[in-house]
Amino acid sequence: MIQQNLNELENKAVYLIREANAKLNNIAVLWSMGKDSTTVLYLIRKAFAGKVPFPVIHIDNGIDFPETYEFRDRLAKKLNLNLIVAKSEIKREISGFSCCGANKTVELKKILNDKGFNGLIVSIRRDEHGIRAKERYMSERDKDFKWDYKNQNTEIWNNYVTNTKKDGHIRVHPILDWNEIDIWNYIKREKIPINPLYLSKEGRRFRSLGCTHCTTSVKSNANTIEDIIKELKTTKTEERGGRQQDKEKEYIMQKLRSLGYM
Amino acid sequence: MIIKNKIKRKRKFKNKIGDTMAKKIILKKSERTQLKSKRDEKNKIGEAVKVLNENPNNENWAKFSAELKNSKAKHYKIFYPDALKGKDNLTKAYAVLYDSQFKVLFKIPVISINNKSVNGATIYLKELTLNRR
Repeated sequence: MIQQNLNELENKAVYLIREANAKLNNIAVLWSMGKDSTTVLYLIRKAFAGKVPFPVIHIDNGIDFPETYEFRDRLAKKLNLNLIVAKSEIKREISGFSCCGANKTVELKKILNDKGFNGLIVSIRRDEHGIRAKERYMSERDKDFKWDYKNQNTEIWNNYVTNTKKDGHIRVHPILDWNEIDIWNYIKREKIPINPLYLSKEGRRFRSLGCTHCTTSVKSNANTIEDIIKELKTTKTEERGGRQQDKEKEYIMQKLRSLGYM
Repeated sequence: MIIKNKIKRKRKFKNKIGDTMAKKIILKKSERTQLKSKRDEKNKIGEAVKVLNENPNNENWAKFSAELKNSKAKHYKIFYPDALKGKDNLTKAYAVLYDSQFKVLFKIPVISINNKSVNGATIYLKELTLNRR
């Protein structure tokens, strides 16, 4: 049953990635070294015979976990990725909202404009946050990265938006209808490498990984992927419970996304 | 003859003691040398940490990074001021480095400042593991 479900999800994701490649001429992939974006990299390899034919962008604000940097460098070498590290500057006086906006979105805008990317493969899922549930498989952004979430395509009969407005781009979400346990089952099946911080040590692990500033660990004894899957079947805490930005007022997340933040 | 042998034995014994004492002196000297080289190492990294805390630019981070490889530091933990409420200043954040027994070694910044531009610098700690205690 699980395998059938995973096969269907995988097929849909591969279809979306190939469709994006066919319709958009300059695509990049966003990679944060988390379980979702690493899974998407492996889905892209499935779609293109073991290769990742697009540039892979890491928006680096410099305060990620050191384990994340080590994982990035190791996997980029192993998969022979065309890695673009876009270093964002940290503003001296920042509030929680401005941290993400100032640090990451500005840099993302810059790199998309510089390199002329008109498609961006992003690894968000609907079940992560209520705001992300409003996304489409292929979601349009204008030149200012604004997202008109109130006026979107219905995507019936695989009818996706692939025509961009001038200087805009399309966000492609291949794992939009996956949930957390699907990701872990897939990682287990395909033996996808993961950041060691996801596994428990000293009774704590990270269920969702962001930067060192806004991520906290959760109590857990799950130190293998099997244990994580078992834990997820009984947990009552949400996945992004350890992410500070999500604890701010809900409208903040919506505002971030409407302004172009992932 | 008996006296000659006695003297011979005494000399042999003295030489033996002498050898033993000499060995002790040599050992102590090598221990002292080892201690000195350990102190020099500690002073070197101590100096690098001091300079880094005063001026966390790319050059000092590179020097610290080179000394970090030879140090006892195995784990790190990063401390921030109150998270994301109001105006936070990331320049107040710091990392504490621990040895393999989780004994505190150093305190260092987590940012790099070059020509008034502030960037994060946690990448320099990528050989260490997080202290989750």
